[in-house]
Amino acid sequence: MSSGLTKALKARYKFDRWKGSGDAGEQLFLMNFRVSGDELPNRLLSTRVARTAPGKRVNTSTWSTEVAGEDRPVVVDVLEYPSSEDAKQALLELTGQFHRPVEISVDAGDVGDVRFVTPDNALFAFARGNVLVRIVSPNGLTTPTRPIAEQIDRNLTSKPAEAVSVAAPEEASGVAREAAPTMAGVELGLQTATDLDEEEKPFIKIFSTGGKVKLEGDTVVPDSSAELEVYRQLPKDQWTQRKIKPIPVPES
Amino acid sequence: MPTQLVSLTFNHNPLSARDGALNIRINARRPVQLPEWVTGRISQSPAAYAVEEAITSTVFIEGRFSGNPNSLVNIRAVPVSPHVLGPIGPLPIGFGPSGDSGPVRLPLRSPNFILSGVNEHEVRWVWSERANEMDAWVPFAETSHRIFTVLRTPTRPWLQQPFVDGNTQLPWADVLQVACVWARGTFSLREAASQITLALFATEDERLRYSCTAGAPSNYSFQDFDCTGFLERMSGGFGRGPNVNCSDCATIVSTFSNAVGCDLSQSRMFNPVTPFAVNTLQLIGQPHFGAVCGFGVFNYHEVAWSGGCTEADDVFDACVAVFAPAAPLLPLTVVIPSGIPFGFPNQGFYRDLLAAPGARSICQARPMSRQRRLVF
Repeated sequence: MSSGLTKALKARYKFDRWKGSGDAGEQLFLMNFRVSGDELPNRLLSTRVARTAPGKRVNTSTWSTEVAGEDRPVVVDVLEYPSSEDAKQALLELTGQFHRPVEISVDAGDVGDVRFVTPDNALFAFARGNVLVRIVSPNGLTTPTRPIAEQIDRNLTSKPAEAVSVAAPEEASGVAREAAPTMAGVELGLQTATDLDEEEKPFIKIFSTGGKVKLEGDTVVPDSSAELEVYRQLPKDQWTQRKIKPIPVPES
Repeated sequence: MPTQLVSLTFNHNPLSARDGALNIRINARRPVQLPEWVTGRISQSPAAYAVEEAITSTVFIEGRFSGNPNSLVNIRAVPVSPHVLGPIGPLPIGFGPSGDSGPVRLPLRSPNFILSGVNEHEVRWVWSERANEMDAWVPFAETSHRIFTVLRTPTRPWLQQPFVDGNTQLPWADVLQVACVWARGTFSLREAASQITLALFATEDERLRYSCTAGAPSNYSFQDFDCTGFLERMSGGFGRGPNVNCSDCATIVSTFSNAVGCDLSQSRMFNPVTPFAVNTLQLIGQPHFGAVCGFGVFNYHEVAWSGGCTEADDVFDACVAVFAPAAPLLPLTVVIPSGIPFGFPNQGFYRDLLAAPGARSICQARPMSRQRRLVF
């Protein structure tokens, strides 16, 4: 996006007011999210997953409900970025994609860290952590977008109740975080490798307090002060959980 | 042991498109399999040639044969009907102690690249052998291949390197198939891009339409180009649905044009402070001319644009049909803008055809916005 347009959009949609939304309290970082279908109309028409740039992943799907012999489709895009700042920047960029003038207001609050919806409610977009979600009802409001957005947001932010707790490897090895401030995904028990098919990669949620998490290349990088709670989805909707605390540097 | 054809490799040199085929893949998920043709394989891979490169040197394909150990035969391949690659041979093939010929260079004797332009070809050969010059030719194989010819090596977003399975930006055969139909028989880059523009605008069966729903957002082209969804749509599936806006059209035109060798970017015209009024237009997939979404204004407009995307460069816009010439002259004809300079106000070029007379000065070319969206 050109700098002139970015500047205009930042002013028009008051970017300074919401660029820090969601930065207080517990932070969320997601990898390999998949739309389960439970939150959506019942018929999957089309889906694909792609990694278009380092740290950027696109999961797009089209769903439909048949009402009186008529398809009522909805398109859902879940875009993952290396950081929450990148996701908010993408939300800003999304506001510059309206070909005709449309009155929207970008607000922090009820869905996502920050969100907007078009006046006809046919497009609902929100950023949550490092993820941008965009829901479009191509035929107008034949399929309400807000309930879908709310459900997806709940799926993003919920902590699996039945997760099996496992030990964090760096705790076991006693490696001080300060000595190795960047942790490869494998050290966190995460799958960041590119040799798996995108659709086979497990959905991972990282909740962090005291700092943020971002992706640098294929490496998950938490702030050195961040306390992490890592959930990893296994087949049959089972989850594992690791709690990783910052380890103080021994006094020399 | 009779002579047998084992395999044919069209893209035998991934570092050059001069003496062989281009580096391509099938689509986002599937790479091509090399050799492109292997005896007994159910799904054979296509190949593509860049005319400008191919006409400057001797193009060959690489074959592998099996036959009687330690023997020599002459082989040839004769087109079943005349085609772009022409005949091969006769030339001698030697077999080693195991009966394997190893890779053999098979020069195309009289290819017809220069007269093929942009096209998709069905290439069929009958392969024959004989031991001595006085013997009759004995057929031992018949092969069929899907060959694309494009004007030049595809340009960004399409890449030629690295030629690895994970590089999804290698030109897709599925894209070439559509682009070669849309631009069939064209011999210049401008002509190819124009035909692709016209073909996109004329897409039928309600596959694509401009929709005012939700502010007419980009549907296939937000950040990257969902080319897989678009191809699905074009082949009768739902894809991402029918709705497109100008960014989608600009992305489709430039990406498909660049697959056949053009060099277009997606670039915008806008004013950062205010939308601009446009003339009465017919939008893609809409039946009539009228005021855009009832208001007749655009926040911005995006087109496929040549060169540096300035006033002097040509635009290709499959999103709209406009009246020409521009006001204050009386409209005489309907034009889908393709290969027209953007121009300055009141020059009678694209800017005047699109923007209402009072808005021509604020409908400004923004070359800093130019980009080429990646495909997925």
